[in-house]
Amino acid sequence: MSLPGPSLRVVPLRSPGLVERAVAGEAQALEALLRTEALHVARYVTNLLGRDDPELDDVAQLALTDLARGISQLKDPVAFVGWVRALVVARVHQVLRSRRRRSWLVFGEATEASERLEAPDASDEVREGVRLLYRLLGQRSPEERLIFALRYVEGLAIREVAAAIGKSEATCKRRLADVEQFLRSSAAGTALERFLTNRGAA
Amino acid sequence: MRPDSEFERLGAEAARAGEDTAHRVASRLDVSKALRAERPTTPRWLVGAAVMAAAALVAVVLRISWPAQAPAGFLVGTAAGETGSWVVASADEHLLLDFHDGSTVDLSPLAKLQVEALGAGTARVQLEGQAQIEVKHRATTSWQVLAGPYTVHVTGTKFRVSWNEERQAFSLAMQEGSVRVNGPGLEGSRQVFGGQRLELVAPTPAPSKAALVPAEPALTVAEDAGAPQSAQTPPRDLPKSPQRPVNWQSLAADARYPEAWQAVLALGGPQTVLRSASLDDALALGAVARLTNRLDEARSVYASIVTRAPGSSAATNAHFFLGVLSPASAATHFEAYLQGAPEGDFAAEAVGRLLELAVGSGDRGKAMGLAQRYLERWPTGPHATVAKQVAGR
Repeated sequence: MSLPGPSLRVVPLRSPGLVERAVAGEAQALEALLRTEALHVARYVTNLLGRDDPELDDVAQLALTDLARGISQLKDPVAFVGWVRALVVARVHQVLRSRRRRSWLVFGEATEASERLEAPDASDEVREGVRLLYRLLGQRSPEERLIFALRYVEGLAIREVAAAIGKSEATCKRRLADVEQFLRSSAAGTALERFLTNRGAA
Repeated sequence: MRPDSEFERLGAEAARAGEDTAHRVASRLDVSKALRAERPTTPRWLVGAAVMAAAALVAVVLRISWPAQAPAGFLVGTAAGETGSWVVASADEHLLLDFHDGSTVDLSPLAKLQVEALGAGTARVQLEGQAQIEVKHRATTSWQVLAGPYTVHVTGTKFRVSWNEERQAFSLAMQEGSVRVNGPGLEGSRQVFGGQRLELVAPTPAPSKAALVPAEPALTVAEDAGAPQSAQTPPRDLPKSPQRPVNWQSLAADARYPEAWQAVLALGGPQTVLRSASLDDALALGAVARLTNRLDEARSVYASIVTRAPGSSAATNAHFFLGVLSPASAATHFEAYLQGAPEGDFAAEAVGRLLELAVGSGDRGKAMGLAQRYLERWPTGPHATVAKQVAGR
């Protein structure tokens, strides 16, 4: 499956001056900004947690609330795009750490509870591979999971991943290598193994 | 970065597979609820009940484990911390301490910290090395951070502090709020506000060895921030001047924009100030107007810079901010900026905004060109996701 060709529908446009007006406390501008940013927030959360995560809606709503609450603290609107990304990463990190802490009180793994595949918008092969990927990532620490998702799903450079996570680049590289090794070994004999090897030639 | 590694391809597939899900999640987001700043209720009552039960159980455990009058504790990583014991970060890892009230201490590698005393909203900690500290503010919050001979008094704020025992050097960089510092070289105590940094060497008999300087400027989310709220620092176009007298420029350098604007008004307003301002000061004046939402005044200031010194570095930067502030002529100004500073501090943002404008106007060809230009130069920049979709990658 590949992305559709150049598509204009997926790009939510931010009117010039909208961020500045929202920062200044203009209620209508903030509402318009939140509507514009909703897709960006949802996309970041989906990429970090995986499309089958049962709490996608809740986490995205929390991140959008963070945006609404924090916008007045944004001192330079020029930095808005990066600020939103950092804000979502921080929220997802907090959620993952919270899950980990409470996991001993919860029966089963919270992140695996859902079979919430809403529409046949990806091939079964891709869907199964991606589902398995995030399930395996759920077995790693929140930091490792985020490092992998930021590096490979969001496509950030190691330097940017390190900044987002608050770890050194060396640590991120080492953690990333650990996760890669874990995925390779865990994927053996599963759909993910075929996915990793077969998709490469596509 | 290895091109087309198996994991890069896997990540790209995951992103593509999640695209439609992201659209559906976005369509379900409740903007009104976010505006009311309410926490969403979980749709799964069973999970909610489980969490409540967990909370109740934790509360019981806390009551059993800790004295009732001091329901305080902290985690070192995922293990329970112990008052009176030193915790030390390893040589290449940060170590996070989570406190019961939501406050956090992020120890940098090799830093060590001892929680000497801990109560409900109060703490006294001893630090060696560097730490990023965020103290949650409540009515009774009172933290003391002991760093060598210096004491930082905190009621709720975010800052980075370090004490280097070998060099006897104390450093404090405020991100939000304010703290009060006692110690050698300070007469009485010194209040330090967000955006300021205090550096001292002890023992220091004279207060002149204390230097109060603006925090390092950063255009985008600061790499050492660790959280989005801490990403706010003065913009790069503000002048730096460690020992200025209190005037609008020094207020601006300290990110005290409303006060800086009032000082500008007291001098007769922006046009009066502009007449005798250097180009750097003019840019700073534009920033003060822009960041206090005097957008008309900001546009006027930036336009005057362009007229006064066309082709100068200041004019080039002014073009960028005119692009940000002037919807009707944004593209012209961003292009002027990029012509003057193709590798400038704002180049990525200018190309990204031109891309947004091209998409908005339906100019598919221009959008494609800008997307490719953006991805070649800033493949992981803030507009990379948009650019990839436009470019069909």
